[in-house]
Amino acid sequence: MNDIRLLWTILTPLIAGLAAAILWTVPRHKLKRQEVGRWLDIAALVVICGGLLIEGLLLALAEGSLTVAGLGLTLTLLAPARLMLIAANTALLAALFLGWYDEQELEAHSTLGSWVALAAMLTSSLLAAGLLVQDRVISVLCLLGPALAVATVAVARPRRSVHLEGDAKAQQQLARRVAGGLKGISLASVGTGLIVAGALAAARYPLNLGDRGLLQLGLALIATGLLVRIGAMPFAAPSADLVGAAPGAAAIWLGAVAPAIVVAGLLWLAPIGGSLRSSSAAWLGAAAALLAGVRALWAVAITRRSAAGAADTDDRRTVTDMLCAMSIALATGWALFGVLSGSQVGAAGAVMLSVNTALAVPLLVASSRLREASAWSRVGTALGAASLLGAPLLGGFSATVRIAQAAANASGILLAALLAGTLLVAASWVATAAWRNEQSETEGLEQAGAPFQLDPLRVLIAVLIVTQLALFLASGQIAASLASWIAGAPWVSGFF
Amino acid sequence: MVALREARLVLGALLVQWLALAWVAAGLNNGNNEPWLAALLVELLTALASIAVLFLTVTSVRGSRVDKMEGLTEAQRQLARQAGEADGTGARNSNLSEAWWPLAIILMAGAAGLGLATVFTLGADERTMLAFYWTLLSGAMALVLDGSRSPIKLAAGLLALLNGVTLLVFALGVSSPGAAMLGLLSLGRIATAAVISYAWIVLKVYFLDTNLDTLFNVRSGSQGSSTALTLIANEQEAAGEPPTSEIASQPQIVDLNE
Repeated sequence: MNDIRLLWTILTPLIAGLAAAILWTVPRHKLKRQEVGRWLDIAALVVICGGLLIEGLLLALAEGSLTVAGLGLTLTLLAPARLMLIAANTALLAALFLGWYDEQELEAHSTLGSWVALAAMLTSSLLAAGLLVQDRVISVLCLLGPALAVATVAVARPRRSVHLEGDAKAQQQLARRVAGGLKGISLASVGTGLIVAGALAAARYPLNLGDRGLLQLGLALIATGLLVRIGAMPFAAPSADLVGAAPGAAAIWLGAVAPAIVVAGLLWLAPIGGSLRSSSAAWLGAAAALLAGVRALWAVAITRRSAAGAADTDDRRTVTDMLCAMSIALATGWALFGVLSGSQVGAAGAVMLSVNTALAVPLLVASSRLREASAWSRVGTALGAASLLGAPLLGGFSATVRIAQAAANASGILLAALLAGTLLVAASWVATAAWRNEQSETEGLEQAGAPFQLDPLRVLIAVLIVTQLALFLASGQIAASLASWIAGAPWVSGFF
Repeated sequence: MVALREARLVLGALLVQWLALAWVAAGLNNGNNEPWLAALLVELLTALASIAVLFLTVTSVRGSRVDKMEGLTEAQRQLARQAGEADGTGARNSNLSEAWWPLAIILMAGAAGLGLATVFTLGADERTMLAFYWTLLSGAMALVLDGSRSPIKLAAGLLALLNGVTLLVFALGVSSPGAAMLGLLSLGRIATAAVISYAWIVLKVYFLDTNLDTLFNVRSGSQGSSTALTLIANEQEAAGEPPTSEIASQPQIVDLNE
């Protein structure tokens, strides 16, 4: 059945982004009344948010597939893509808030909120294209676009000339986000190349059925490319920089793009027969999770040793950024394991964990933007990290249990590696919290602040916390909605 | 592209490699010329657009005189002048061995490409795979050797990798690439060139230097202290004083993100 709404899910964010860009390009200094400029800004934000919400609605209503004859493309909405795109749009909405909040905070190194908004719209459109299109190579190339959009936001000029003001901290933050953008674009290009090469090799296998090596090479390249593209360890170098210096870009990259690529990876592998999984590369996910744990613990240990009880707020903030990045890398490692495990429970867990990552990352990033002594920051950070670690009663629990089940069925060593990674990251968070409390007591920092003060960022954090609980309660229905697709996917059928 | 140091020469080498790849891709047609001619045309336009973006950036970055900007301190002007004296590639040849070892690695990589094209043909013909492996290895070497120091090598390396992937799409694709694929391949590379060019200008304007070493030093918080050390040493030299021992007792800066 041809459903034209599928095409509109791709076009709606693009059109909304273009409309907002037109509103933002109206020269403000030529307007007679300043309020008009303010209303134009508000109208642009409404258009952008509306675009994302309409796309979400279209995704919820659309069914079947659509053939775009002019381009020779077939768009199909599968259950994992539907769930992931709706979750990714939520992350993109959160990124809009974060970009806007950064602009209001007047931090010298930050860029304009409009850049973040336009990148979010382009990302939304390209993610929809990447997850709906059936051609693997085109899908991979579509998903390179969001990386370029995020890199553009990351390297965008700051709102003030930081070098002229001699503000070393602002210049360091600017350097962090530019470095993060350049690393991101490099890793994205390399990962894209690997996946395209793997997809081409796998596509040639049906033409030469005797050459199993070609297929296994293709699968290995796709698995390695996924590891690079989703920013799992050891390719998580840009994550801490972006979390610390460009929260809007981080929410887009780590909250929307990386989880969407995990789900896209499952869709790319799905048509490949389960009997050909002898080249299973699931250990990559387990190794990535373990490395994330080791890196997190190392960051805490080296900071505590070097600071020797005299760490300042910047030290604590840097180590928190690193722990946020490693928690996200841990979750992507688990999700990658689920995808590559070739099992039904693993695949379901991977999709559910990706959906949870899209909702937990904005919570973590938003909480890290608040003053570290505030109650909102502590609660948001704790719940965001716990969710990514798969703690009970939060969104990631059900998914983590499913992937652990797949790992237990595959190998005890792989399960041990995954759990060791989680324990190490959890231990790092606990050690950092204890250390921060010691420091706060030493310095006499105010702990309570104004816990019930409300501003847009706190509202966002509250909504995301509620979403975590909702996701935990809805995990059964989500798994049920995935069941029929998973049962028909050759990559995972017939296993567990 | 790997051994050259001057930015415009690197771009010239990249353009030559790109045109050669387009020529190899044009030779892959299977009797049906029309789609391949379109693909060839798109490749040429992509090459020209990407190289033009990078070339204009090189020209404008070199033409700008940051040290003449208002509001800079004398120390910042000195840094800008020092950066302007460098060739912009960020690559430095301090001795003969540093100049020759990239050439030795290039020769080894060339031989490796020959071997790979013979062993791993992936179902395509050997000549095409040789072009693919050489492109891939040249891009990888540009990235590994100088990609973390020089924006031009970073751009050239990434574009070479993406060019190799494009050739692979032409060589291994089960059908001729359609309009959507050609468009995405083309836009991806032009956008990559544009983003890196933009980052290059940001580096020049906000860090007074296009060398990526400077960026990573500022990021890890060590640029301020190294600049201060240079200035202290220069002042002491001018005054004929011995170097201060306090410099050695500066607190060690720990980089968490490296």
